[in-house]
Amino acid sequence: VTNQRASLYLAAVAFLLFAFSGEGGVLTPAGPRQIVVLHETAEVTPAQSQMFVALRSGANADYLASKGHKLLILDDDAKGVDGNPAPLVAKLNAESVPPPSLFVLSGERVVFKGALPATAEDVLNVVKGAGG
Amino acid sequence: MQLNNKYIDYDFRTAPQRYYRGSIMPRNAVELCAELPAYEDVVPPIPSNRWKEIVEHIEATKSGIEWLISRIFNQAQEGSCVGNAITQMMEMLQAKQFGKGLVTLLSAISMYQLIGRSPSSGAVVSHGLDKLREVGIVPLDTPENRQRFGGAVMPHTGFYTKRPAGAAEVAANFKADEFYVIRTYEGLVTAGLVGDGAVVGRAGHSIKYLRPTFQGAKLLYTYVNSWRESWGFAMAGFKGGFGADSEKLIRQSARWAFAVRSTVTPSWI
Repeated sequence: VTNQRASLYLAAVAFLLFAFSGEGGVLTPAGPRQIVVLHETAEVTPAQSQMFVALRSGANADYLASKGHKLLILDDDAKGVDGNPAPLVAKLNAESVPPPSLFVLSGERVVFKGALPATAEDVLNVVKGAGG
Repeated sequence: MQLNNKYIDYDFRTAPQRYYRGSIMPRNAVELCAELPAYEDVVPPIPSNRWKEIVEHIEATKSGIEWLISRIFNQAQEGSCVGNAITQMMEMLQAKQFGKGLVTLLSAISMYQLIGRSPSSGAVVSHGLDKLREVGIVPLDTPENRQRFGGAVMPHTGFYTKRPAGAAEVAANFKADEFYVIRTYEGLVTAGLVGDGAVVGRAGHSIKYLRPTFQGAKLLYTYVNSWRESWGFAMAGFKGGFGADSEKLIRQSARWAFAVRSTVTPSWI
């Protein structure tokens, strides 16, 4: 009986961790994420450009790498090799979030979508809140 | 960054013989690029009274595009500077878009072969942009690239290297997507402040412009050269490889400049 209780307890804890580690309590296990920033290159400001570099270097880049996250910073009409819209960008554009926007994906599933925050730290906070 | 006056307004024409140039400046530059979109039409020039404030923020936060550089190039004894500047730009764009860990190192000679007539002929910057749009760049011959692309890789130098089978298909993954010709000094400075930089040609040499900085009240434009890490001043963790131009030379460079703002997205990304 004690073993059964312990198993039930562990299962409950695992479920709660699984259930509330993502945005808004969506069922999202913590783990590697694909993070995508979509922007319209013509509208990139100096501050955004600095944020992109800040995400690519120093402690921010180290954090993303340590968690196995992949960060893509793409134009919202980025093309693939065949000249057609890149499939990932086409998929995220269908989410109807105006650029500049931020998406966090767990596997194929979008677990966060919203406006791009103002700083690299804020971007990482969103990622952490989405189980990353 | 450690500015060194020796490498400010460096006259490439008087460089020691071991350094090769190779940027050809035709007379009809404006006509050659007339049909291409102008950077200034898409990105409104930033007023000059904001330049210093933006530069100070970039430097305080270490968020200049020099941090996207993966390596300092060595064009050796070939006039392939245009190929080197363009290839450097493409590696930096990959670093921005996909991350430094996903940068595919590229073969500068694979670009120069398309636009030069001989190892020392040099090439025209605008022709490089044409080939970057139409053909792309073949990956560098490294163990990692051989694992991914098989034999469709090329060395960094060696004008007469035969293009391998499959080079065209692989190079198509490393083409320019969005690109603009820069026509003014203000446009060139703005390109540096918004993280685009530019490929420029001046004094018979092509380099990758990075961003403005200030030496006191004087605006300088930093660039990364392709003359090894032993040339130039230190920047972004590299021991050397960098120079800077003041306004007179920036204005010369603005006659022959373009910015690529994005590359195509390869299928494996």
